[in-house]
Amino acid sequence: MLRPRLIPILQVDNGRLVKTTRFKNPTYVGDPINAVRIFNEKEVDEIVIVDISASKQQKSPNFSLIEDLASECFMPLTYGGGIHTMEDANILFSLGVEKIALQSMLFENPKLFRDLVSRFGSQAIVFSLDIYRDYFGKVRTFSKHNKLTKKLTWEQALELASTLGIGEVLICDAGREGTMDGVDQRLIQEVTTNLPFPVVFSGGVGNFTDINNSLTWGADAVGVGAFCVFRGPNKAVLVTYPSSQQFSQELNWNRT
Amino acid sequence: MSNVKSVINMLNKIGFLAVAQQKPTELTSNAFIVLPGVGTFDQGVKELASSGWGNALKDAFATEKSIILGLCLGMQLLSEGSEEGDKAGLGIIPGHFKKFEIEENQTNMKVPHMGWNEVDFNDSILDFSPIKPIEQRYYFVHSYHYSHQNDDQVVGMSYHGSRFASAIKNKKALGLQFHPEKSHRFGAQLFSNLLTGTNA
Repeated sequence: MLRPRLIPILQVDNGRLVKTTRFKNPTYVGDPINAVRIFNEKEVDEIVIVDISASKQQKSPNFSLIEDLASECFMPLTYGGGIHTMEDANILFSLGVEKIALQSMLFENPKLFRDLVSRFGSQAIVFSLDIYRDYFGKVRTFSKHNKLTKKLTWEQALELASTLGIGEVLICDAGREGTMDGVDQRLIQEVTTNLPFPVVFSGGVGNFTDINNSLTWGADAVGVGAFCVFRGPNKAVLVTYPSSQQFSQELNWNRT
Repeated sequence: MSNVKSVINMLNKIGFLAVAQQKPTELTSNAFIVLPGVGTFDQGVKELASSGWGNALKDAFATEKSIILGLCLGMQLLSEGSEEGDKAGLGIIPGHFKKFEIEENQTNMKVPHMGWNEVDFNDSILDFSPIKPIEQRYYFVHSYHYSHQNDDQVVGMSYHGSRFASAIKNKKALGLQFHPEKSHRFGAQLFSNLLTGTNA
C-alpha cells in the first residue's frame, strides 16, 4: 500500500455544503458540486459525502444531487445519509457511488444491513460510528437523531458491524468534530484496536501533526472536514487539499 | 450492475464514445467490451446469466473478435471461480480467486485491501497497450485476489501482505483488479492506452 488515505468528509444540508462544530451549528461553506470539482482537480484520494438533512428529516437521499456529484468524481465516493432500503442502495451504486455509509440501520434493521453486504459485498458497505468522551471520561456512542444508538456501546456496535461483514468503519470523535482542536490519543488507541478492516478516523484534525498522530495511534486513514474547507483563525472558506509534495514533506507516522 | 456509469464518464472525458448495453447485441469486430462490477461474485454470475452477457462474452472470447476488459468484480467473473461464491465464473481466464488472509505477525494488515497502490506491469501489457505504464497508482477495493499457479496469465503484480497478481490476461481478455475509472489521471491514461492499443 502506498501512503495512507486522507479523505475529505463533506456535509450537505438541503443541497448546500456546510460545516458543523460538534455536529451542531452548520455554517454555510458553498456549493457541494463546486467543492467536489475542486477536490477532483486536486486528485484527492477519495471523498465522503454525508447528507445531514436526509438523516435529520428522515428523507431519502437526494439522488439528483448525488448523480451530479458522482459525475464530477474520478476517485471513489462514499455516500451516507437517509439510506433505508435495498432500492436506495441500488440506485446509489448505479449512480457511481463506490461505497455507502450506514449508521442507524445497524441498530434499527440489522437484517437489511446484512442483506446489503450479501448483495453488494463487504467492500461497498461502511459503518459510520460517532463517539464522544462523556463528562466522566468514558467513551460513548453518539447520536444526534437516533436514540436507539444509546442501546449499544461502541464496542457492541463495532462487534455487530464486524459480524454483519462491513468493509470499513468511519469513526468520528463528535466532541472534537469541526473544532480542529487536535485529536484524542487514548480515544483513538482505544477504539481502533484489533479491528480487521480499515478504520478512517476523523474529529479534531487541524494539521499534519494531528494526521500523523491519528495514523500512529491506530487509524488506517484520516478523515478531514474543517481542515480542508477553512483557512486561518477567522475560518475563511477555502477548499484545499495537500499537494503530493506536501504529503512527502509532512506525512510522517510510525505504527508499532 | 453498478459502476457502468463511472466507466462511461471517464471514457467520455478522454474522448471515447462508450455505450452501456443491458443486453448483448450484434458485436462488431474490434469492439472493446468493458465488464465493470461492484458487488458479490454470485450476484455477478447471476446477472451475467440473466442478461445473456455470460454467453455473449464466451462467444466474443472464442471468436477473438473483441477485446474484453474486466474490472474488479468484472475481472473475477472472467475467471473460473472465487472463494467468495459457489457459482462458476465464465472460465475465460484460467484460475481462481482467494480471500486475503491476515497472518499472525501482520498486525497492521487490513481486509479489504482498500486504497491507492502500485502495479508492476510486465511486458504482457504490451499486447493491449502501446506502452507499459510506469510511476502510476490506482485505487483498489477488494477482499479477494487472483491466486496464480503459473505466470502465463500474469500481466501485473501488486503488494498487500504479500505479492498478488493485480492484472491478468488470456488471449484477448484482460482483467484488472483495481478501478481505473476511479483512479484520476492514472486510470484515464491507462484507458487511453488500452483503447489506442486496440484501435478501438
